[in-house]
Amino acid sequence: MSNIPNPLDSILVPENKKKIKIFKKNENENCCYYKIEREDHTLGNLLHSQLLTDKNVLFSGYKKPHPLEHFIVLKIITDGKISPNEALDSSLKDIYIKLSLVEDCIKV
Amino acid sequence: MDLKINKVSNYDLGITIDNMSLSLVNALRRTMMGEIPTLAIELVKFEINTSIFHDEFIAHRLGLIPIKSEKAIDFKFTRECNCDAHCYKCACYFTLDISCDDENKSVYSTDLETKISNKNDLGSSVFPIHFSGSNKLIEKKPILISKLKPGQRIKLIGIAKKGLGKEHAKWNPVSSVKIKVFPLFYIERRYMDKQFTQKNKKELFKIISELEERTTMMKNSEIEKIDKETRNKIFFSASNLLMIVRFLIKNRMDPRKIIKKSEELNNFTVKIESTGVLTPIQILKDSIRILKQKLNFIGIHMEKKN
Repeated sequence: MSNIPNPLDSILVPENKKKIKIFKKNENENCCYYKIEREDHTLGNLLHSQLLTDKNVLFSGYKKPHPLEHFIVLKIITDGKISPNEALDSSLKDIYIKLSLVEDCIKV
Repeated sequence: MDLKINKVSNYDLGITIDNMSLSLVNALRRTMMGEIPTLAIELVKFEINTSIFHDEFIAHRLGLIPIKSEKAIDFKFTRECNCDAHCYKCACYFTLDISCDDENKSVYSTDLETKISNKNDLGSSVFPIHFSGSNKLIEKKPILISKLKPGQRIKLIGIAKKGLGKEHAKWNPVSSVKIKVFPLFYIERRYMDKQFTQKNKKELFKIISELEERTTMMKNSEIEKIDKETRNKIFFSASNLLMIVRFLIKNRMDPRKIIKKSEELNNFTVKIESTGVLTPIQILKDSIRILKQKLNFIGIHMEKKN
């Protein structure tokens, strides 16, 4: 009846969609696109800037294609020494370690 | 990476963070504003409303009243609860029954009463925050909901539920988070070991004793394991820049070639102002915990794919 979209649209992943969907457009194995549902600039900017600090990553970028559709697209190109999946895994771990350091500083 | 707490109070928190990337501080700011679960009145059932304001008006005002949410972790989201509409495990109930007899009357948030079924309810320790502000400027009157003239009456039940700031701003535990960015400069360690003589190094460290502490700290810190770049750089803040430039010029070295500005890392001062719903330190801890949960969630889904 009303034009307001459901406010939980931006939070809950619907049942027919997965959280992360990997698709590769080119034949190049080192280039990979990730579509992450129900995430926004909070995680997108964090992952993208952490990937840039990795020496083996040639390109990393993210975008939120439309403000009313709640997903981000992350693109990673590596130089062949590691695969994009490994680059993403290692950057997730690095951010986790940095956050743990912040937590330890607060406790003290 | 260093964190110092400058000022703590019930509603304010000021911290300085050194040697951190802007994207991480911004991610923490965004989780503080939108992803920390708190309690706020979501549904209002009106029985009698003969006041001058219409139902939705009063319901909107009730929703924005901050409610003490330290127990919000124990509550369930209504969408995850097994009950029909809402129960004592996923919601907390407030009643308001005010009528005006002789003079004009104001309805304050102190007139809201909690309604509980037994003493062990989660809702027994949940109450609205009537007076808030920093210790010096505490307001003397509680939150004003409405005003009544003789003969008017309001009777309602308010149902408070758990939610996130992303869904509606009433669940935002923070009134503002201010971030100030300060630049960070560095000298490459290789350069210092090669070009500086032993005498120069000692003199420089005397001028800025802080610099010596930082060089030893960065060598041994855990960030070394992650970030190989920072191992080779000696960082210092803008307040020490002038003294170092003078020192370099005195020893006939070109500061423009030696000193460089860091691209990724900066110093920050962060000020968190809470509405009183949670203590600011609790907000900071929760935001770190929730960011970690998000990262874990993505990590688990990545493993499934592989």
